[in-house]
Amino acid sequence: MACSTETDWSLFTLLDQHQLALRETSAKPHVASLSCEMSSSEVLRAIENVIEDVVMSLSTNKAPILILKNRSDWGNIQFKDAVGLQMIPNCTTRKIRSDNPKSAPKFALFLKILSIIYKMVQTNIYATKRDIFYTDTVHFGNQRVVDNIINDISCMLKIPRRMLHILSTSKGCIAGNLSYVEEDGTKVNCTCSTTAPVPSNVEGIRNLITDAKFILIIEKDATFQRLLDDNFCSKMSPSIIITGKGVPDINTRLLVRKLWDTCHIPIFALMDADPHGIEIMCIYKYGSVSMSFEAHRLTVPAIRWLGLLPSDFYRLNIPKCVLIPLTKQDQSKLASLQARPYIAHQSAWKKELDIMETTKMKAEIQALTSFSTDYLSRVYLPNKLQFGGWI
Amino acid sequence: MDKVWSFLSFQILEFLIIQLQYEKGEQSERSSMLEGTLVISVDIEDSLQHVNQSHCAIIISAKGDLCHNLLNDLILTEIEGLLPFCQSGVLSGRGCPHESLHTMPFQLSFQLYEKSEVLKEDCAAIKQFIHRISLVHTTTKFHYCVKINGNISAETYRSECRAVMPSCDKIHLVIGELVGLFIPDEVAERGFTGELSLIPAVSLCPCQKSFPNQPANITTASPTIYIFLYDPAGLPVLFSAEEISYSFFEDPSCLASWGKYAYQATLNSAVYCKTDTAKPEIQYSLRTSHKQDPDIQEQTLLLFLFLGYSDQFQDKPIYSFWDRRAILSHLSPILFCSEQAVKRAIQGVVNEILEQHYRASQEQQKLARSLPIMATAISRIVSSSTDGKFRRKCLHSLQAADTQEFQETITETFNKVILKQWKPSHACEIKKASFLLNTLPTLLVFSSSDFCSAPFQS
Repeated sequence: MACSTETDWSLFTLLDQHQLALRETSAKPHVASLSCEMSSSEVLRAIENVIEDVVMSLSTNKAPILILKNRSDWGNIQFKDAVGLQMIPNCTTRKIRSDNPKSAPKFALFLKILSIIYKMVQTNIYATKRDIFYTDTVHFGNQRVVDNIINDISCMLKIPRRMLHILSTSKGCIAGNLSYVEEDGTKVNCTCSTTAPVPSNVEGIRNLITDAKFILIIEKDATFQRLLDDNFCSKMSPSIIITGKGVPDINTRLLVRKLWDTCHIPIFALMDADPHGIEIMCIYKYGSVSMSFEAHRLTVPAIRWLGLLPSDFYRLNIPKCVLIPLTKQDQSKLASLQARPYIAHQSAWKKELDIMETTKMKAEIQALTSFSTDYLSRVYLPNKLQFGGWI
Repeated sequence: MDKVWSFLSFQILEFLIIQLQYEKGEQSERSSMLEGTLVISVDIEDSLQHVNQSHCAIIISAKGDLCHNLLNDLILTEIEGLLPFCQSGVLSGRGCPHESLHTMPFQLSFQLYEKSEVLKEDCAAIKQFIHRISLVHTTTKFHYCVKINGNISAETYRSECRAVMPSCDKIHLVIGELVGLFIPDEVAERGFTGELSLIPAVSLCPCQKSFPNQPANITTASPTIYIFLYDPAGLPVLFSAEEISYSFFEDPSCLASWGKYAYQATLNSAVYCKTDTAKPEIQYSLRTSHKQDPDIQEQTLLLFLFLGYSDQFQDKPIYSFWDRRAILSHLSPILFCSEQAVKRAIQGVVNEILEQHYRASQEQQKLARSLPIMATAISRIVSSSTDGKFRRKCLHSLQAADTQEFQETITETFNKVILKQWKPSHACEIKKASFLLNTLPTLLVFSSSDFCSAPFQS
């Protein structure tokens, strides 16, 4: 099969079985991905409510405060198998005071961004977080300040970023058997040899068509390009490959989620066998703590770990010279991963993490080139897909 | 009687205060809390016999627990030897009538003729002297009464905690390190056998702790640094203008690293003070590159230098009237003898308070810069909203007629609610003062009204 140009899918019975199992599971009711549709007037009203509270507070001689949910506190996160990391309903909050020199700048910038969003929603203009940062670089100081406040606003108002008219810049790429129409009417035809950037308005995608048997999420752009060069999509046609180029942006995550919602086909992850790669995979699958308030729109718990597995080091007899010892940071990250609530639900993953912890070694996907330059696309991935090498 | 009468009055007061302060050493520690009233009554009448002169009667009387320390034969004999012009008892029909001087157990009086102008000037000097003493002798009530041709004016000085909310009118002192002072030979030769120490204490006045958000600056409009020097008995040192110019304090760099905080200090050799505030020994003016905002609360820096006295060879240190004279006449040499240590102690505590002030002012600026951003964001949303109900509610809340007025009102409201916000300060609670009582050689519970007449926020 490794040398064939046409994939004989009859050999991939385990993949079919996996797909059937997924469809059965997904047929059960679950949280709808687009349950937060709101009209512009509702968004404006939500902002006005915040302003009204501030003005009322001032009118009674009280310094206004904002009450924000502690987005990044693990104590406010619950793990749900069907959703991933989700914010608990009665989570702890923090106060942003307007009368405290330490918090007043944040309070001020919160209101400033709120007024920018208000204007954008009123005039139906969209802007990226970067655009907002450049409206007042002196006061914002750095991009992270803007990003955090936008997430806080989205979390406080319970309105997705897109409805706040904030576009996320996309860095992800996609290729394979896929076509769709973007919100502005642009038709996109992905092929096995050319890549398309992940659109900035995933929610506006229409007419998404694919015959793909599976989707492969690839951690790194270099591996993604390598698979394109090796014509992987053609060899394993029809399929889709997608990369978020490291830690995925919101649009890449939204697109993976949209593909899952639309097609319900198996989704696999190809990551470096190191704590960082595993964490990235967990973001696709279970979401991140800071964005847990939007988990129901972003996570895809159906994702399976295809490779590179720490157990592959010995199974494939990867030369020790290409394995890399874990650094202190790696060990600390690994320990933090082991403590995550979802790991307890994934005994197979736990075993892989234990192997890494015991061997104190990690490996990049490129380690497979020690066998041959196209080993990944020609042998490793086809075999894994054929013989159910995912967990 | 060739001595100026005010000098005589000073001498009596100095003698009495030293007795009160150092008699307590014999008794239990609680005796330092002896309460009582000291009345200084000045009665001036135009003289019919002497042209351009007035007759002046001074009556110094005391009542309360403190009389126990004054009414002993030894002290009365000493007073007679030291101050032969004094007589026991009240001068019949003289003094302030409402004080019932004749009922007071302790009484001393003397009388003289003096030019009216000199008497008026000296009255002000005595008043200042009493005011200064009252600051550190907190258990004694000082009543100063002047009757000029039957017209009475009176002032009672008693330093006490006055928790008048919402503003705090107390002086919160930051206490520096105690330094031992070398005694120059010329002082030792005059029979001074004890050991001297100095402890600096500093404060910014008025207290802004209850208004942490209000921008404050050390004022540069008038003399802004006051130094108050006290001898071991808690008596003011009172420099003359010439003494200041050649004193240890001639160089302002002995106080702080002014440049680090963008200040430049210069000595004011002519000490100016308002009649109702305590007169310092030394004053400095400040210049700064800081932006001076008219809305900024201006503060004054007060530095207290307390001389301490001990004698390791005596169970009860005897600090006498003559020791005070010896120290006062050699104060600059005494301080120069331990120049580096004294500078370190003073700079340590003044720099500390300047640093605190600098940090607080940075925080206040950060807050002040945030308010216009908040106000603009809100007025933009309100003015561009198409929801009439929302707009009306906002305008009505701040009593603004239209969005234009709302824009102005919201800025003012933010300033009022946040910058002028009153917050209870733990440091301003009364019990905090007890810390000072145990720390300093004298009893200190100052009120800011003794040092500056700037109006407080209400």
